[in-house]
Amino acid sequence: MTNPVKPDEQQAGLSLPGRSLSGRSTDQDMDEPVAITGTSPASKVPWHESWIIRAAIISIVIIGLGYISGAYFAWQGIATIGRLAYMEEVEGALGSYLETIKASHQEKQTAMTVKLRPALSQATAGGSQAITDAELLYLLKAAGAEELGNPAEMVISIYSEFSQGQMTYDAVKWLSRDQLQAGNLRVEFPKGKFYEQFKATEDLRQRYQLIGARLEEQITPTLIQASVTIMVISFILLGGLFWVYAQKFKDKIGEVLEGFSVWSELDAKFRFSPGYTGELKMITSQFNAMANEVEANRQKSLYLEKIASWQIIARKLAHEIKNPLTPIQMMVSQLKRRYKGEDPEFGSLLEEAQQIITEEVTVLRRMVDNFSNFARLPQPEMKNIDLNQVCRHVTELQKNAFPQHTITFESKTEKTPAWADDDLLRQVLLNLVKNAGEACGETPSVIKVGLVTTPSDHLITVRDNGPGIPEEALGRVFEAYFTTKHTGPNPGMGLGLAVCQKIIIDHGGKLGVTSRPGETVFSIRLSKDRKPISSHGNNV
Amino acid sequence: MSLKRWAPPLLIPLMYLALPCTLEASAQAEEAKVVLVVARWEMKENGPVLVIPFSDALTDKQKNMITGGFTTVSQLSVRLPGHNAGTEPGVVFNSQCSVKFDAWEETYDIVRVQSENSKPFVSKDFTEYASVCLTGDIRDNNIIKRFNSQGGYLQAQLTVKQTSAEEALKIKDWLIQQQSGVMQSLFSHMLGDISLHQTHVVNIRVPKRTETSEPATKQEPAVVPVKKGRG
Repeated sequence: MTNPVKPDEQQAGLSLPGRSLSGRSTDQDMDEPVAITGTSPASKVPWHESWIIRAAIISIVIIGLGYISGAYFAWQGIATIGRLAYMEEVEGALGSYLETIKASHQEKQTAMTVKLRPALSQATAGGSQAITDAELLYLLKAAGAEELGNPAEMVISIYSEFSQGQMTYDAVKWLSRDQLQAGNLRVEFPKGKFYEQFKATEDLRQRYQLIGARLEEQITPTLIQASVTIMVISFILLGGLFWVYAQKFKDKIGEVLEGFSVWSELDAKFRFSPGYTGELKMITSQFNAMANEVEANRQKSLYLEKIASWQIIARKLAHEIKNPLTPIQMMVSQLKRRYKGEDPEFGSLLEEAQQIITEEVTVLRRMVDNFSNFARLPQPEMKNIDLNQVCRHVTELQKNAFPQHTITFESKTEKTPAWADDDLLRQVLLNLVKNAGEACGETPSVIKVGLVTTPSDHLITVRDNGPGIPEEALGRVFEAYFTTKHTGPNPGMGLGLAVCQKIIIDHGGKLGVTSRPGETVFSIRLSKDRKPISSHGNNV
Repeated sequence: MSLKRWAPPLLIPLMYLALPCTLEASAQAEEAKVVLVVARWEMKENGPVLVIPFSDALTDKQKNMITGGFTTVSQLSVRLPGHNAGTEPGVVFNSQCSVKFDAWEETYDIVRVQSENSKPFVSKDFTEYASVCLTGDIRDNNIIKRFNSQGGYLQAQLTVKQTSAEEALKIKDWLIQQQSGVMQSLFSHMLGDISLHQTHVVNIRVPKRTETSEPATKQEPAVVPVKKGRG
């Protein structure tokens, strides 16, 4: 693939101004920019036919189904675990265990009471005498009261409802789970291990009841709702972001399509600006390169057609002018031979006329030869050559022709193989260096012939530090019959650079010029892999 | 910004907004038995009194709440049929009790709220608790006159709710801590109070004063599904 035309390398006669998407025009005359909005009929793709929208919809559907199935399976999972988390049988078992603890406690109470009664009866002399707190405590310990609680924490007080006539001092009765009446005393038992066990189990049962009661109607739906809320929020954010990007991409595609339409129907100089990214950057840059190449080819075709026309004219002129030159010269010679010299003044006039006519015929003949050469420009005979050798040869030749100037050749390599016609290439370089030498006149100047090879091209430059080419003439230097050398011993025919241009075009290369006072550079760019094109503008 | 261009992403939040209604609807659509109790006439010092026992009208869930050791409040409100609960002209009897069953001692710590005698007392059996807190006692002469000769129907709303929030808070905190990150705050905000509560409606048949006494309550199978209030 060829490189696109570089905008800073102005090729006179092959200029490629461009107009970008943003409306900037690279032409000297500022035309109205073509507004690209992405909304022209050519750029509108129905949403159901847009690949990116289809992809976005499918993606969103897949993601949505994923979320829905995720929520569904989360619900199923939570419901399953819920059934494991709560079972009526477990709650029942906990209730039964509570009863068991109470029954065990009661057994202990009964067992202690059985032991305490006879001991108390004996201590109170059959219930007739009261005993002290300490004595009661002793009896309680002996009856195994430690199993119901720490005796040190037991509180013994007077039983306020003891009635001496109706109750005896050996009466033993449990007033509640933790309070025992022993005669006229009341014993408050501390909360022992049975109570602790009971409370722990009761807490557990309460917790279990709570979970069981609220699991299905509140906890599970809330879990699901919270999970779904997060899923929906994330889906909206991600899906929305995705949708925004898809729409933006669709809009950009629309812009690009509109650009194609503008280029093909409205403005062949249209180019995309470098503001795109990703795949669109590749598409637009490739399009710009293609458009540049199409434009360059078009310009070359136009130029070659012009050259062909000029060649036809040159051939006709050469033919028409050449024919009368010989008879004119012969007649003048014959006149001079036939004159016998009777009139010295006439003889002198005749001599002068012959000289003038001969000189002018010579000029005309030279002109005819130039026209003939231009008309008969041969096709290049391509072969493997060494560019270094060609450049060096030309440099040496022109050093002798222009001794007042410093003419040098610069190259970083010793050899530069290329596929070209060395004779024609030499002709071009001779012409360019000769032009440089003549432009600099008698003022000692520096003329540099340079050779640089890039990965894709060979670039030969002829650089001089002469007066430069006027700006108004710069765009026309490659036109046939255009010359800036109107005076002097060798006024130009205006065919030299046109011939050079044609030769380089035939080689599939490019000939360009840049100039300002003090520096003029002619550059020849030969592609390493480009085949030469014919005069008809087609590749060979 | 055209609606057509942005319609698809907007569908999602619209669908989601419909979801809580669905969830809530499924949570609420639970059938409850219609309970019918029969009032009885009693003669007291100031005249006839309409007595309505509600102890057998408690649901299993409500009974478990009371006997499970939670501190609960029972609210009983009797009104004339056709009036909304809480509308003053329709309410003929109101009772509110706080009760905590001590499963260890097997006693009921009762406080009758909104009563002249609101001292707490301890009862040893459920029957006594029910007679204090779950029995309607209507002495209003207008009501007595209304139902005296012809009988009729009344309606009651019986609510039992757990007021000891510690356990519920512990479980709620534990559930919240099981979640991660954003889910914690969202779940905490959405979960609400998970204390136990249940409310249901009881229909009361009031016999004529001349009818012989019938058994205090009768529980009949479901006649009309009633949506349980999500209290």
